[in-house]
This record gives sequence, C-alpha cells and structure tokens, in this order.
Amino acid sequence: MNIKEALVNIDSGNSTIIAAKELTEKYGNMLHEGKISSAEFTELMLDVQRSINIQQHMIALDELEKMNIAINGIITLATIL
Amino acid sequence: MKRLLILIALLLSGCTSMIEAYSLKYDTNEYLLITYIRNSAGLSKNTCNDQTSSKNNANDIALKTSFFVNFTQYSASNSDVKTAAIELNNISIGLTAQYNNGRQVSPTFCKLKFENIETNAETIQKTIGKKPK
Repeated sequence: MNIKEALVNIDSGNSTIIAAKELTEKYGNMLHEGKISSAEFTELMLDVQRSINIQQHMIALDELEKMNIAINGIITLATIL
Repeated sequence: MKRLLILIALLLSGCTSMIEAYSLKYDTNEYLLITYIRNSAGLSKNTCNDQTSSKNNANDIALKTSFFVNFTQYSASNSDVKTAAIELNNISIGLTAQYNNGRQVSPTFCKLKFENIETNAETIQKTIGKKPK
C-alpha cells in the first residue's frame, strides 16, 4: 500500500484532519523525491500525530475559555439580581 | 454570597470541567515561555544548511521545550497545556535524536522539524493568550 492509497478513505471536513492529510502527502512526496530519508519520514509522521494531539487539547482549552466567560457572565447576572 | 453559592453548586454538581473552566487564569510566564520557543524555532529554521549550528539550535530548543514541560507540570487546572507541552517536547526531542544518533540530518528535515515546532508553539500561544486575565 502506498501513501495515496492509505489516505484515499480519509474524507473529513475537520480542519485538523485536512491539515494532517496534506502534510502526510507532502512528506510522502519528499521521501519519494529523496529529499528526506525513511527515518526522517517516520519521525515527521510522528509529528503529524503529535500535532493532532496538540490541536485537540487546544480546542478543548478554547472551549473551557468560552465556558469561563459564560460562568463569569452568569455570576455577574446572579450578583445583580 | 450569591457568587459563593454558585461556586458551591458547581463543586457539588461534580462538574469537573465547569470547575476547571472557572479556575482558568492567564499566566504571563507561561505565555512568555511559549513565545520564546516559537521565536527560537522561527529563527533556527534559517540555519539548517549548517550542521553544527542546526545541531546546537536543536539542543537549545529541546532545553526550552523541556523547561516548558516542567513549568506546566504542577500547575493546577491546566491539563490541556501540560499535554500540549509534552507533545511539543517530543517533537523537539525527535530532532535532537536524529543529530545525536550520528546520522547526517538533511537540511529539509531540519527545516520541517523547526517549522513543526514553530507552528505548534503558535497554536499553543494563540490559545493560552486567550485565558482570562
């Protein structure tokens, strides 16, 4: 199985997944063209996974920040009422 | 009094994410550290044609990301940043490992790794910059 075949079923509207797919294709092309070694390609693919993990946790933190604003709003309202 | 009652209600509800959300606080040092990492990575990617400089830069950024991991390790209600810090450090270690294994590191790989550190540091910086002040 080559990289294009492995990615053929990944059809997501999620921006993190789209970015990961594009990076995988880019790294695959660089490996094919001999610009990076297979060990370097493997390491870069691990970076794709790590980046997805970072993105997911930052999205979760972003949600918490929005919730914080909502809680403070509710507290302010409760103080006024 | 009402504020206190709401907090007690949140605690009693067992809603940990609500409590974590309420406890969020902007940390100047945390923001400064991630900015240093992003800045160093951005500058280091331009020296990848020189093996000695890029190896030194790789070791330097790994020290910074490791420091960031230790900085966030025991801060309360900060689990997402802790995980992100660990992953960012793993990206840095992956670069130093290539140099320290005695392999010839390609300038393309060096540049891509520093770009990955820079991009992910920016992602973290953007989010922690929005923490309530």
